[in-house]
Amino acid sequence: MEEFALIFGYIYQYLDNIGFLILAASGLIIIFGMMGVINMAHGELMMIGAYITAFTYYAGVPAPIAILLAGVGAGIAGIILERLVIRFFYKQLLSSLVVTWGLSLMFSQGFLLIFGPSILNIPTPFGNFPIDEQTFGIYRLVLFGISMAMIAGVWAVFTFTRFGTHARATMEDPEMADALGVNTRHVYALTFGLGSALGGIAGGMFALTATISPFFGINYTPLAFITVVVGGGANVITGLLASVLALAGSQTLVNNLVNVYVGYLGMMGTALIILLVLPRGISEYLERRKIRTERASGRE
Amino acid sequence: MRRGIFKPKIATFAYTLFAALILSALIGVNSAEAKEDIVLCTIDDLSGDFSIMATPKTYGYRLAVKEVNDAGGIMVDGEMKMINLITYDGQSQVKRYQELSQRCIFDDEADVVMAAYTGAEREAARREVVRNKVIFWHNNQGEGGIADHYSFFSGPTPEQQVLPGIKWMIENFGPRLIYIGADYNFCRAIGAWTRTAAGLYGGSVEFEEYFPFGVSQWQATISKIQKVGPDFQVHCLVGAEQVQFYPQAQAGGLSTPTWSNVTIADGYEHKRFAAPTLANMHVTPGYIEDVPHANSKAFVEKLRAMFPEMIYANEHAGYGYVAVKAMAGAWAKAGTTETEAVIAALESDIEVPEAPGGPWIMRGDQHHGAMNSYLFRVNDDHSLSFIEDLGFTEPTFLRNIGVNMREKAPGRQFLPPDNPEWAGFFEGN
Repeated sequence: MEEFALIFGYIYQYLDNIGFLILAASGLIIIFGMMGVINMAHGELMMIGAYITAFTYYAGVPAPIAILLAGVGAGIAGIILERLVIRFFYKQLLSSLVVTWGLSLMFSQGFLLIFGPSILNIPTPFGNFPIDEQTFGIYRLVLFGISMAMIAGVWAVFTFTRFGTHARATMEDPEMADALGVNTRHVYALTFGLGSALGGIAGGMFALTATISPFFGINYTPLAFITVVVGGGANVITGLLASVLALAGSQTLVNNLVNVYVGYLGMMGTALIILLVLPRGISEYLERRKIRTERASGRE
Repeated sequence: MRRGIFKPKIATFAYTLFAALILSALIGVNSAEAKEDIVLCTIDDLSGDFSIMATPKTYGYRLAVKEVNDAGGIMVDGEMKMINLITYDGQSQVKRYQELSQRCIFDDEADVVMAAYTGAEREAARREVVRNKVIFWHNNQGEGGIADHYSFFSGPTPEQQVLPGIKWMIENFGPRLIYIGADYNFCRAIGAWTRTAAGLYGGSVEFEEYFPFGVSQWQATISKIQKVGPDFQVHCLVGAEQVQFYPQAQAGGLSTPTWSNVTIADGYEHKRFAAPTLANMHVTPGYIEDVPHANSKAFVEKLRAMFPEMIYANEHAGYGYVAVKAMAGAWAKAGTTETEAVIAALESDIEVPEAPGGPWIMRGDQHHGAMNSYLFRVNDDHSLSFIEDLGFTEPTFLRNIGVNMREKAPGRQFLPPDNPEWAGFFEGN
């Protein structure tokens, strides 16, 4: 029983770390991974989601609906941002970095001025369950489940829907897509809005377990970028999954073998090594291997 | 002939230059000595991770300055002068503290600099300020032990918080404790003070671990604590990210009694997290809004009237206020803003009877305050239960190792292992 609790504890931590990274990165795989916009304000979109969740929750809306409203609110904020600012900076990596960094400062300082340094968070639901002498919170597993559902949802939208096909065509070759009758302006705005909405939902989910403050986003943006960059742009979803499996795996292992401090270093070290060996990310490597095997089998 | 004309010209030029230099020097000295008001320069984290904790401190400063100025100012150098409060935002970034301290000293010609939330920020600012022979104040609860001629501390030291707090916890819950804290000078020092308290009162430290700022994933630590199963926990978790420990621990079913001197007192987490996240937390502040002293009620009323947006009057609001009042007393007593005269006045055991946590006295030989501290427990509904008044405690740590700053300031920091009587508590670590 004791061994079971120990092993379960490791698996639980692994799932918790995977869920955390996927939620932080889920919107960014669309905005950075697909659209190529270095959105430094991603954490602030999550922060907006957290505020919307808290305000609607305390206005009497049940938590799940409050989180969905956060997605809607952050999505609308994203579309407005895209129309007013971001669209002038496509294909300009450094400019988009500076502009979105400025936006992130404006958002966090603006929220600080309007709402003060912090607001009341939301109670963590679902309680916990015991195994041996340890107890485990259920909400962390729910976070993991929702993160998986979000990834599946993104994959389904971009694979099976008309909007997904248009979006992929637009990201691949905007002029050709335009010539074939795709309204690329709408596609860009909606894609950015979808990425922002996912960020807002993630922020809303974290609002049930974190401090809600104007600087809420600072903690998530760098981790989200590391996760997406390690995953690579060739296939953002398989890339993200491979990336979180590796990063969360090394973090969980080192956390338990040494301590949490070295665990963070271990995660950063893993990211560094992966990028040294595979500078274009894991998914690029996987795609190349797939093509090579296909060619090899084609020759036979 | 040519020479004759040239000579007086160069002489006139030299005389003019010389006169101009003397005049400008005189004006310079004049303006430095007869500034129109007394300059109090403050640097606090008004944005970033620590703004939650540090913002109320600036409320304390502003209220104290307003009271002094409304009463007509302070009689120095033969005239009544107002305090000019200059406020900078340190942005929760250590490196800003050095730059802004220089701005306080050289651009604003500050008579006193009060700065910093974390110990790391404090040292960045303090080194710069004392190097330029300007009076420096840190107005948090601190790790104590800094023995420096120019540095003063208004908040409680571990003798007023850690020792009585841990003693009470051992007596009421049992001897086995664990310690987790942020990885920087303050929490490392509080870890040493926790070991000292355990040594003095028969406790045992089962494990001690430090975490970088920004850690927000706590499941590994929660599991580790549950495996050890201590009688109580001691925390020094700092910043908005680290305190995410509490909702995660609560959801994860870890509910062992806990003691901390930063939680609640600094971050009023009981007002920021939904109940019962902080239930069973024990704190020993020198001041928070709930302190049952008549001074506190009056203080909070004035503060709320001035800053209706204030969520909670934390320990920093109280000690920011105390520090300004102590300086006002010292300037008035010295009758000047000249640094050495003001330090002598501060070292004459200056008192702040209206301090919100009850009467407060700067012990001149120690540069730390003598004050009351109070023990509270957080209830399931996040109200605070007042358990007991821990009494009026003198700061004696430096005195016991032979420091008397009226005579000679060593200009360094001392920690518990520096006390030979306590050295045994740290063997094997």
